[in-house]
Amino acid sequence: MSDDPTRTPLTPAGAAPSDPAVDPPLDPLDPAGVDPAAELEVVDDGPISMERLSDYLDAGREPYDPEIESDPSALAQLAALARLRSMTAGLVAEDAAAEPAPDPSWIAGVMSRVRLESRTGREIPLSSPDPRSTLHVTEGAVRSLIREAGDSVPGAVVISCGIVGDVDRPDAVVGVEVAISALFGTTVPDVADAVREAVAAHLAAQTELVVEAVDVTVRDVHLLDTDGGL
Amino acid sequence: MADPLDDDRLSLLAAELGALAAACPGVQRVQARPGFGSLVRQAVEGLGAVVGGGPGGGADASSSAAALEGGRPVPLVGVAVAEAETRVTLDIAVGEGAQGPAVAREVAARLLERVAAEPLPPASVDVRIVGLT
Repeated sequence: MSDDPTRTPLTPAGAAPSDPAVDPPLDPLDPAGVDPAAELEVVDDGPISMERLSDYLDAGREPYDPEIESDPSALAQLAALARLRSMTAGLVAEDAAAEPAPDPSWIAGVMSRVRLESRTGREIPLSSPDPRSTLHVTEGAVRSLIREAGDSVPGAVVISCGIVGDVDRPDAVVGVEVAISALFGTTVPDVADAVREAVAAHLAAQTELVVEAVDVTVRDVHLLDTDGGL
Repeated sequence: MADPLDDDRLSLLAAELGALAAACPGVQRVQARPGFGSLVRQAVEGLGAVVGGGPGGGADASSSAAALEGGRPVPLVGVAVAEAETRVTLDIAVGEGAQGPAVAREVAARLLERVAAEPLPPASVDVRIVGLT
């Protein structure tokens, strides 16, 4: 754990996972390890393109598209896109257009990460009192939950997130890493702390993960206008 | 054991299980498990019948064909019947305000109870949460 004030541990600093046995050497979702431009090129567009999702959202999700509405990954992307648009609209309402314009690919970059993270991923076991039942939750569902929790904090946009550790064992201790962008003008440490609390609360309510730390890193400060690309 | 269920009756049971799961508090939607058919073939020995799993879910052609020929949708819940086991497989999304693990446990319990009423080998249920809000 670093001394960076924007990195906020859930537990005391000494308890955070920081050794190589816990932390992966390089998280492919980590913006620090991936050139955003390069990542955009390698992200598989999948069966449902971002343009199609964007058009579907534009149309108010009408007519009903069963392929999109039955695809968990597509639904997670749709929800993230809707949140980003809602946030952008709110800023416009607050006359944020007076601020300098952001990089027009910013939202597209965030959505490329949403696309990666919404994939099914690992299966995280859930406890069951009945040995005849096998219960689990997909890593993609949990990552979408983390993203939703972070995005719910005013002034924060989750850039990437991940679960670090062996989630295949029900009692394993894991860490959660969340990279966010903070809205220009907000108090960055406060935003980071609110994201950490929101993510921890959502995970405690919706999973059985033993979360040792929620590590929030503020990667950048953003400005938004309506020219976000999506 | 009484007369085993034929594919049509198994399909009806699978559809009923889907409706039962969807009616559980907190369940936002029920989805087919991608690759259900191939998964059960790998995991279950002595497989007798496979139904459901959604369109293209992988049920035997002979099993799913009847449902498709009748113009009926293939049930989302997959049911695989082997000599010694009945396996029920489904994905669910959990809605806002509901607690995911508790919802999954409730779904599993209801489906097990329902399947136990049928003349089938002992059942197991595999519930996976694919969406949380």
